[in-house]
Amino acid sequence: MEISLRNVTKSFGERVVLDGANLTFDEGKVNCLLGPSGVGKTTVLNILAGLETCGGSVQKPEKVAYIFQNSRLLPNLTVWENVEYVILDMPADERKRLITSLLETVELYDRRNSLPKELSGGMQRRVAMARAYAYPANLLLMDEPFSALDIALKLRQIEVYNRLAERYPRTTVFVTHDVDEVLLFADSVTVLGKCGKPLDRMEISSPRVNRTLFSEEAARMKERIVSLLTSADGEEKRA
Amino acid sequence: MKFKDRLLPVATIVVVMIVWFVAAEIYNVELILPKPSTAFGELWAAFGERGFRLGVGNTMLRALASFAVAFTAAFVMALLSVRFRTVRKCFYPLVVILRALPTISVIFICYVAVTGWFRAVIIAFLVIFPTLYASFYTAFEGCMGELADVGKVYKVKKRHILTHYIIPAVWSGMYSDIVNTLSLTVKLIIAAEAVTATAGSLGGLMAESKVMVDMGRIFAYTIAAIVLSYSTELVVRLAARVFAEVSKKWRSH
Repeated sequence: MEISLRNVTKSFGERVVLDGANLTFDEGKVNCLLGPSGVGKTTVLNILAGLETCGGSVQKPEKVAYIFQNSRLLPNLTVWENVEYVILDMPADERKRLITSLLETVELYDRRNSLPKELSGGMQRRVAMARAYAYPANLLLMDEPFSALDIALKLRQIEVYNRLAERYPRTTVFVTHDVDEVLLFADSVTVLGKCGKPLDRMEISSPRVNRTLFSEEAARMKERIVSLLTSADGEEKRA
Repeated sequence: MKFKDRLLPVATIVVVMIVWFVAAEIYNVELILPKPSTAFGELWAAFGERGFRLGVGNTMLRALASFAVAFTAAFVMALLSVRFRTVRKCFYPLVVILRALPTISVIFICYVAVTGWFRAVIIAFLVIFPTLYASFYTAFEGCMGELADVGKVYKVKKRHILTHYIIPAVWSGMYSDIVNTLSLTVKLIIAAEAVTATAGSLGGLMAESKVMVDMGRIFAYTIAAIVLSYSTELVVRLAARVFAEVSKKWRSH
């Protein structure tokens, strides 16, 4: 099923965030939306998640999983219960098997009875990942899932994600303003300009697993992305 | 808990007793300020009287009944108010009136308009309901923010949101409010019983002692009221702890 936004408009009061945005996402791939703050990246995710209404047309699957910018774990529920919360309708045996497997994959099975406040920020994000993968969705949305993490932790989180993606493949849309995250994590990247206008779209050909920031392709793409973002910023300042 | 932490509250009570004893010695008029020994002696004697035991039981039952009704009504109304704007708008003036209503007016109105066992219950209900409603409303409103989006995105059933998210979040946020309001209910019930001279109640016994100018008994009943209020608090705290332990065991995987 195609996931797309056609001629989408969205305003908050007098501030226009999206103005005739047209975006298409590849099925089964990690699609990245890159751009500076305020270009409507999170708004696109919220529209796809059904949390925001908008003008224009949106084509998306019925079931969507979402890893929010802050993990949004329920503070009174344990790690296990937070994952369980989104699949309470699933038969108990199946649910137990799935949660066990997911918590093992994100290396948090031993912490299954801990409360979110007893976990580090990185662990909380891994619980949010496990929760998103527990939900039987066709589309996964991720809002800056690796922001504010040091590079070692970021690489570890990406490795965890890749493990999950391999076991439970699904179309992913993730937003970031960090070029390195794109190069490490995405299959394709759409650079967004003002009001959600796509400036360019690029494919990354090398496989996600064991990808490095020091390849020729990475350097070429980084140069292209930085040049796009800089010229967009310059145009905005001139305007 | 450290030994010092256990000792300090006991030391405070001892100091209060010493101050009371010294003040009574200086004043030296038993009719106005009886000594602690007199008050505790009267309390011991009262324990042997069926009327006292019945009065304490009735007061306790009234306090619990009033609290249970106010708690349930406040929970339901606050939930509906947060969920539906129309309910909130319709209910707002009623809550403002109830909150501003002087307690003594409530007591006098009920004294004339209501008779029987439930009079004090209604009085306490009218006073504590707005407090509980405000606490529940704030707690529910706090649940409607970012975390509510998780339920929306993942299409979690409403009953699961209520049992897994809203009730635990509200309970942990309101626990001390609930305990405090329960103590306040005991105090209110006793005041209402005393002013309306309710028969077979702790407040009624206090009113009787006032007519007899029996200060020893008034002090004895006051100590009983404090013990009653504190024991209620203790029972709720203990129940909450047991519930937390049991649910933790039950929830662990």
